[in-house]
This record gives sequence, C-alpha cells and structure tokens, in this order.
Amino acid sequence: MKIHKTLLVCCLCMLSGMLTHGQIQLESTLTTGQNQTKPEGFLNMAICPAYELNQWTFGAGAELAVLNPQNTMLDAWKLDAGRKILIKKHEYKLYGGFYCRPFSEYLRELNLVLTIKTEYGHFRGMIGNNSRIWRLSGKAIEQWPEADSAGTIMKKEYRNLLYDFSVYLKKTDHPWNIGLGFSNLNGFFFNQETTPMLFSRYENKITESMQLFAECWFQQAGSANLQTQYFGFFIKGGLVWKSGK
Amino acid sequence: MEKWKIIIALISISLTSCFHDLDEAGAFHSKYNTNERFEMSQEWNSTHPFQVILMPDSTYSVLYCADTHIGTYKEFSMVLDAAKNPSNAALVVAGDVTRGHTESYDTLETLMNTVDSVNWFLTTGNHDLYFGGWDEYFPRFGASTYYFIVSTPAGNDLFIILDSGSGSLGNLQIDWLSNILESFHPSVRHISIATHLNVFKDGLGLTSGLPMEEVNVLLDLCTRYEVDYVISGHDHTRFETTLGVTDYIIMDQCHDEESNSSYLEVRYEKNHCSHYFNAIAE
Repeated sequence: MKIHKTLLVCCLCMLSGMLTHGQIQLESTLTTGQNQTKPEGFLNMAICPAYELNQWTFGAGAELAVLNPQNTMLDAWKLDAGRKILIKKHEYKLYGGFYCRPFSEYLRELNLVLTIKTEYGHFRGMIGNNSRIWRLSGKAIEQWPEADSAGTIMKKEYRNLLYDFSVYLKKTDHPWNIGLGFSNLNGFFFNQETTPMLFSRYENKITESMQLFAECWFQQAGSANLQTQYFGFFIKGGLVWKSGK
Repeated sequence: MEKWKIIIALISISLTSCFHDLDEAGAFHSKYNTNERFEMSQEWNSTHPFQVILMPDSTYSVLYCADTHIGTYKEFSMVLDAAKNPSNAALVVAGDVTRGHTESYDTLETLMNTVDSVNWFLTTGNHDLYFGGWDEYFPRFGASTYYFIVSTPAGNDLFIILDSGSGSLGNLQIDWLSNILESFHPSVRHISIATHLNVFKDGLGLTSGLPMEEVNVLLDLCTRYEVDYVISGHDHTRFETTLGVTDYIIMDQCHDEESNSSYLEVRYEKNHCSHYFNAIAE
C-alpha cells in the first residue's frame, strides 16, 4: 500500500510538469552516503519537475528512500514556486516552498521555506529562513487524544537562518565548473543554522538543454560548540533537463 | 608588513587570554568521539551495574541542574544542599559540570566526595570535554551513558542519562537508547531522559544542537515509548515545550558568574509528573 502511494505521488509530480505548456524542467538526483543515524548507509532518489512561465517557476518533487528508509519509502515531498526579479539590473531569484517529511509513523516534519539567491562572477549565494513544524500523525493523535485536547500535537520553530555560499573556478555561466561551498540545506533537508555542511560541486552542461552535476557533502556535528566530531557524508549526482532550448 | 605581523600576534594573544575556557582546537577535532566514549561507558557499566534507588513513598522528587561550569561552586553547593532532603531521590547534573581543566575536575571530585547522602548522576557537556577533559572525567566518574531506576511501592521509574558532549549522540548510543526504551516500556511508570544538548532551537543563537537527523530519531523514540521528560541544558536559557506526551525542557544555568540561576525539580507521582524551577538566591 505504501509503495502504491509512493508511485502515485511520483506520477502526480511527473504529470504536474508534463501536462503543462511552456518550458518544462526536470531534475533527478541520486544521493548516497552514511551518517550516525544510518551507519550502514542510505540511497535516496529524487525527482523534481518544474514549469517555467515568464519570470515564474512552479514545481513539485518527491524523494524516495530506496535503501534504509527511516519510516516509509516516500522520504519527503515538496511543492514550490520561484520568481526572478531584477534589482539594479542584477538578477535575483525569490523562492518559496513547502516540504513534508513523514519521518516517523508518529510524527511529520513540515518546513516552510523562503529564500533569495543570486550569482555574481564566480560566486553563488543564498540566504533565507525556514519555519519548521513537527506535528503528530493521525495515528499518534488517535493513540494519545489527550495531546489534541492539550494543544501539544505540534511544535513550531519559526526562525532558522538558511544559507548557501559557494565559489567556483570559472564564472558561474561557464559550461563546466567546479566549486567549494558551505550550506545548511540540501534538497529536502534543512539543518539548524549552527550546523553548517561543507561541499564541493562539479557541473557540466553536456548539451544546451541538459546539465550533469556531482556533489560531495561533509557533515560535522556540534560545530558551534567548539567540540566537534564527524557526523556523516554523502555524494549526490544529478541531471537537469530543460525543454525548449 | 612587520607592523601587521605584530598586530596579528597581539590580537591572537588577547583572544587566547579572553577565551581561556574555550578549546579552539576542539572546533575541528575531538580526542574521543561519542561512539568511543559510549564504548568506554559500556565497559564501565559492565562492571558497575545500574543503580536502583528505593523510595518508601510513591511520590518523590528528582532534582536536575546543568551548566555549573566549576570553577567556583557557590550556587551548585546550594543545589547539593537541597538534594540532601530525603524526599529527593537523586540529583542529575546534565553536563557542562566543569570547564574541562584538570583543576576544575579536582574541585568537582572533592566536592562530590563531601555529599555521601545524595544520589548524584553526572554526564558530560561540551565544556567537560575541552582540553582533553574526557581523560579527566572517565577515571573519576566513569560512564557518561547509563540508566538508573527509582523503585517505589507503586512501581519503578526509569532515568536515562545520555552523552551529547560533542554534538552528536552517535549511532551506538542511539541503538542502546532504543533497546533500553523497548525493554523497559511499558513496565515502568515514568521515563525521563537527561542529556546536555537541547533538542529544540528557535531563532538565532551561537550554541548548536543535535543534527536534525538525530533530533528526528530522538523525537520518534520519545513519542513511541511515551517518554515523560527530556531535560537538557547548554543554552543557559530556560525553555519548555511539549510535543505529544513528552515535555522537553532546557534548564537555566547554575553558574556563579551569571544571574537568574535555577535548578529543576520534577515530582514523580503515581499517575503523573509535574515540574517547577527553584530560583537560586544569590
């Protein structure tokens, strides 16, 4: 039943991109790695279709936990929208998204994300905020109805700074590039602001409509405690395809 | 050029002297990671079985405090005095007990040796691990991950102490926690967990918590096994929230050099628990 639900969500995500007219973008990624909660490793696959119309982009996406899911195979899903704006002839991208991670049969993690990003020369930068909500699932509320009456079915954290800064060997519009950066988010995942991750990225535009990329991410625990340790790493590879180019 | 070198050297010296209690090298590396400390703790636990505290009454209290940062210990002494009351089954100090220096551990060991009548339980915080502090902590106080039981005529209560001193619980400790909760739930009346790092964090702040993957695993376990309390320190700012049936509490500090110190008292009764903060009068 869970697999059917997952397939249905994937199909809906694909259809939401394919049935529209105009420029369609499809990003698919594979992420594999290891961390303290999954020491035996994990493998996630994500598909994120999007539709671009003038300055707007509307998208959706789903991440599937192919190996060692924490709860269900549908690890996380999202709905998002973005808009390009010009400020003093420089382009910025505003982005808003809603993310859901059903990480436990008793709990859901919901994220409301708002960011602004830009590129300049060899640099890419993004800052924003995510509001995180942990919410009891329907099963949990059924099991502990007293939580509903006591108003303890959710916990909200409204303010968490998001950031992603990277520097590249070539200018960011170059067909291929390699760079280094630090960030506290990746795909469907948002760390607390005090837990940055380091990454390197290689990207290559193999045709006008298709780009390949590969990233290595290093996760450190307790970095702002001045007493740290290794937490995990992951490698992410992906393909971005845009129609009409 | 020479002028700049002198300025940089002076800034470095002044920074080092300002942050005498910070181990800058620890920003990049810990001598013992959580898994290594957990394995040492388990070895210790194998020769020092978990403690059972017998209480004659079904209602009793456990005191909690954190961030004592010994050095000085005027306020911590007041908590130790309060813990001597026979209605208090135990005192749990949830990390950052010392500043990591050998002399801090000497002071703490001497102090704890004077309170025979108190059942005290410690764990490490990030400050306890500075300057290779685990080499001081472990030989003197033993495990930083363990559990104890308070046994009353109405049933037993489980208290789990976790080590989060280097920013992560680690996979071995998470597995252990999961096994302990599974084996004790639902046969115990109440379950409480104490650790140094706070679970939730809202807004800007310099102190980091657990990685989000571990937070989600911990939240799942606490909800699944109906944990009553998760009690932490680290932030030095009181914060209370409830998710599901679990209360998540960040305690004030208990540190002579800061104002608004307090300790937490949790009262365990037959069918429920309640808690309140006791201000420490300066």
